[in-house]
Amino acid sequence: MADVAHSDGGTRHAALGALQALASALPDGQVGRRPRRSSMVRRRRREPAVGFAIRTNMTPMIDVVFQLLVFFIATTRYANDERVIAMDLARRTAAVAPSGTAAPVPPPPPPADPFVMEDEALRLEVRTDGTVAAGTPFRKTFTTAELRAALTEQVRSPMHPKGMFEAAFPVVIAPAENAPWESAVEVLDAAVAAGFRNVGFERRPGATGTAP
Amino acid sequence: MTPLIDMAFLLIVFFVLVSQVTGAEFVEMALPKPASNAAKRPGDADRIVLNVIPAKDGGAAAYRVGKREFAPDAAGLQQLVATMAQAMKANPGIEVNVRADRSTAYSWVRPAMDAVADALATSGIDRSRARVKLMVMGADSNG
Repeated sequence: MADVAHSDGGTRHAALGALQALASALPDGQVGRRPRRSSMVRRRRREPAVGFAIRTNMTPMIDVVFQLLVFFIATTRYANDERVIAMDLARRTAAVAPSGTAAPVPPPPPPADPFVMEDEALRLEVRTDGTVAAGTPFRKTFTTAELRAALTEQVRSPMHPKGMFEAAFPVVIAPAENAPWESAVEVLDAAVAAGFRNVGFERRPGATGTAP
Repeated sequence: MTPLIDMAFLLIVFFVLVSQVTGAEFVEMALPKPASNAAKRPGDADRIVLNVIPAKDGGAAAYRVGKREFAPDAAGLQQLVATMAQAMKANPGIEVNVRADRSTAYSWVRPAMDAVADALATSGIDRSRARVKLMVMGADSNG
């Protein structure tokens, strides 16, 4: 304040000198800055937010994750509709004897009895076009729908007491080489659905390893 | 958010793994679809799934068990019999499911069924219970 009195010149100089004096009186030369107090208040308000400083935007990631999830759920193909038809292999002769044993000896034929019906299997030949040539006793060619009806009628059951076949009567299906697998399975299914319990495909002896 | 993302990732991993497993055993093909419902749903028993992989004109490109493929010739079929016999020895109760496309000619499916019979014979299992299961589509399914 003493400087003001000694400064030469008019009131303009006096005012400038007063400002300078004011500035030098302030601590640490904080001319023109915000008052310290307000800065302190602001920092104190920010401090609790330090833990959330690295904040990632999650939304796009969750979007992508859900997209992937939906994709995999939609493209996973469950085998839910698949069914199985069981088919016995037991009564057929093995092409290869079990290792370490001799070839199986066929049992001796039973003595001939003229009154016993010949227990020959019912043979169903599946042709390439899907029709079925049924052997004895039908001796007729069927479509698969006709075959279903005929077989169902002829298997003895409470519903068809006059049927000529027991359920255990052997049925041999002999598809032609070029018959599609679909027709072969259709005939097998017809026989199984009719009630036959002894159904199988014809096995050709020594057929192993002879893919066409 | 974190539990949600955890669950989503677990589900994704689950579906990725499931689709890989089923893809290996169940090759994409059109199974036969017989008109009746005589076929049963497959049980929970252990099984070998033997795929006859379809080729053009009703042929077969290969026989496939799990992820192993066998050429449809004499050598490949012998390997197939050996592989299946090994699995049958290790697990006598195992069942065999045969999957073949509906248009595949019977002459290509027959070797597969013969191979099953031969594998059963060489593995020394009681053959009175030997059976094969043919896989089809349910009559009321839309596949």
